[in-house]
Amino acid sequence: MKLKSKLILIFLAGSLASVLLGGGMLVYGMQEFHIRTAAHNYKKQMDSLEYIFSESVLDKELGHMGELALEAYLKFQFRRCFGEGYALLKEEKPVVNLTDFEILDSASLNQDYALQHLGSQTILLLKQDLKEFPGYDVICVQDISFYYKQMREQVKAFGKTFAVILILTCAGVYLLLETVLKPLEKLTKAAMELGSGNLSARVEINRKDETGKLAGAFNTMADRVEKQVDELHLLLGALTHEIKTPMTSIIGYSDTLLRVKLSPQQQKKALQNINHAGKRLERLSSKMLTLLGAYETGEISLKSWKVKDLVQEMLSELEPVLKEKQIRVEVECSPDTEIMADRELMLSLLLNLMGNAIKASGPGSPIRICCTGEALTIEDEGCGIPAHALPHVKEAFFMADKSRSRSEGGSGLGLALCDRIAALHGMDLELKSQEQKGTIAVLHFLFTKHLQSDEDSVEDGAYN
Amino acid sequence: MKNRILIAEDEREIRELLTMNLEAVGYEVIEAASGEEAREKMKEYQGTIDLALADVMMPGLDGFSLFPYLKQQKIPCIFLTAKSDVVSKVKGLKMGAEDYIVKPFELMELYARVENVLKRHEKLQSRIELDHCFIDLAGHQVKEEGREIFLKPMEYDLLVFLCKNQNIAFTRNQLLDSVWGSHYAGETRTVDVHIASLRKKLKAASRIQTIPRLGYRLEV
Repeated sequence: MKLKSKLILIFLAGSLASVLLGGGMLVYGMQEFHIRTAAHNYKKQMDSLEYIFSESVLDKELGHMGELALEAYLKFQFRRCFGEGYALLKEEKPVVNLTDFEILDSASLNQDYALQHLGSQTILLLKQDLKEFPGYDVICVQDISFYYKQMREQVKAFGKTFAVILILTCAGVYLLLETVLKPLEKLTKAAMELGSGNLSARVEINRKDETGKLAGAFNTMADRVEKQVDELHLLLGALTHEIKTPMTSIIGYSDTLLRVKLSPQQQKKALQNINHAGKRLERLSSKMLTLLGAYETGEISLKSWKVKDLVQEMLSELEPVLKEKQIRVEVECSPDTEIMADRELMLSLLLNLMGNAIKASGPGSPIRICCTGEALTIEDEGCGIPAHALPHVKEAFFMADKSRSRSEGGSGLGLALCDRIAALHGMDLELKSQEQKGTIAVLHFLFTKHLQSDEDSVEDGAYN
Repeated sequence: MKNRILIAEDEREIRELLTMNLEAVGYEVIEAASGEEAREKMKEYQGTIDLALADVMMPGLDGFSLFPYLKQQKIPCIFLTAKSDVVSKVKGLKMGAEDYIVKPFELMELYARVENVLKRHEKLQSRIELDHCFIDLAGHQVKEEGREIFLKPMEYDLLVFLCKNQNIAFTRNQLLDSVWGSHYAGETRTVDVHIASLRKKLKAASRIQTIPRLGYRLEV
């Protein structure tokens, strides 16, 4: 069953039950109260009438009266004092009946009052014995159908009002549900579309309530999914393209070796080229793996590391290359700066940045590494990046100078990887360069642990 | 005279691969590592270049930009590309390129496309020389040391195919497909029989080498 019908049914059942129970109890209580009040009033009336009756009957006259005379006298006085609706009983037999009813079984009246239903009429019966005259009783018979009629009318009016209100509120609830659930239907549709592969599916709900928020969250999620998928698509496309050249090399040269008559020198060259292409593929795949690993943010484990130690480790790994190219490295590192980082990823970032600096530098030229509390800078005096290429260098497989960078063993992924890793750490990678003068790579730490203070909590908040 | 082919390709390995293979089958190759270098070579060898292989994606002057200059000198052009998308293929062909080779490519495909383009432009020689043997392609005649050698049609086709693709080894099946046609339902033995008969009839046919576990190759 749909949520809408469920909610409306529950609402209906709830309000019906509460109104019927509550209303029923109220009506019953009111009726009781009215009847009791009526009984009380009649009782009072009867008491006062009895008082008048006993006052008007003089004691002294009674003494000499015989039984019959007394009875006649009482009948006479009763008719004088009591009015319609009363009857005088002697030994439970009516002697004077001023009521509209025939009194049959007055002996069974032993409560304060009793109700009797006669057809559509309801009558109230009250009985009291005359204290001065044993054997004589007064009975009061009153038609109180009026109360019942009034009650029924009230119930009817109440029922009508309730029905109208119920219908109106039901309609209101229905409309409200409609407005609440319509966005949900839209969302469902958009989610289904998204699920079936249309990543540009969005919902348009301009509301400030919870559904509006949900739609906003959905759209944000869809945006991020689309962006990431697009990025991966581009990356994959670029990768496929990048694989083609070494593949062509390997297939072409091996084919040539198998079929074509070659001189020993040519054979050697072909083998070297196959080897070279294989190595290039290997570099490409390991960089891709790191990059894809960097996309799986779940695997990143942030711990506090001293930047100085990371730089030292990076330098010791690059030592053979640095020696070969006779590059002077000047390191100026504040000893206490710590960053929250994934060790492997951060090392990979540093190695890539430094690798780029080394590739750009000529033999003997210096590279400066400088670390403050805010940023790490790697500065070289190498060939620099042309101004038109600078905005693109972080794109995967962008190479400012394809042939040179290939001959240096570049994959075109290094800076894309660095940028991705920096972003994962909440850091910012900035590149400044001037052609023929050199490049400065600045890694801005946004969260450092420069001082051992309560900043830990800030960092935790930022990363969790 | 050998056909002269200009290769404009920035990737050293691919350029060398093309050169190595085209030279093996008897073409003369001029290498250019960029579009700009290709233009210089065109000036240098003015009017003697029969065909150009140009990479579409090159830094600086790319294949598409190089094309108008090739057109000026009426050099037919085959584009090389790693992109297999239809758009750039159509763009190249609309510009007037002769053909398209998508990397990675097979050697057979390269030879076939190059030969087709040269044939279309009537730049193939009408005569093949092999030692003392002359093959007149126009007259379907084979002469060795002044004597005319009578070959059966399939023997002749096989000989011409091997000469045109000298230094390349072919399996018997590839020879059946290429020479007899892919519809021919013969056995690979047929190839052996024809090779044997060629060796018997022609002294120059001794250059046809049997390559173990592969097939045959005419080595020059």
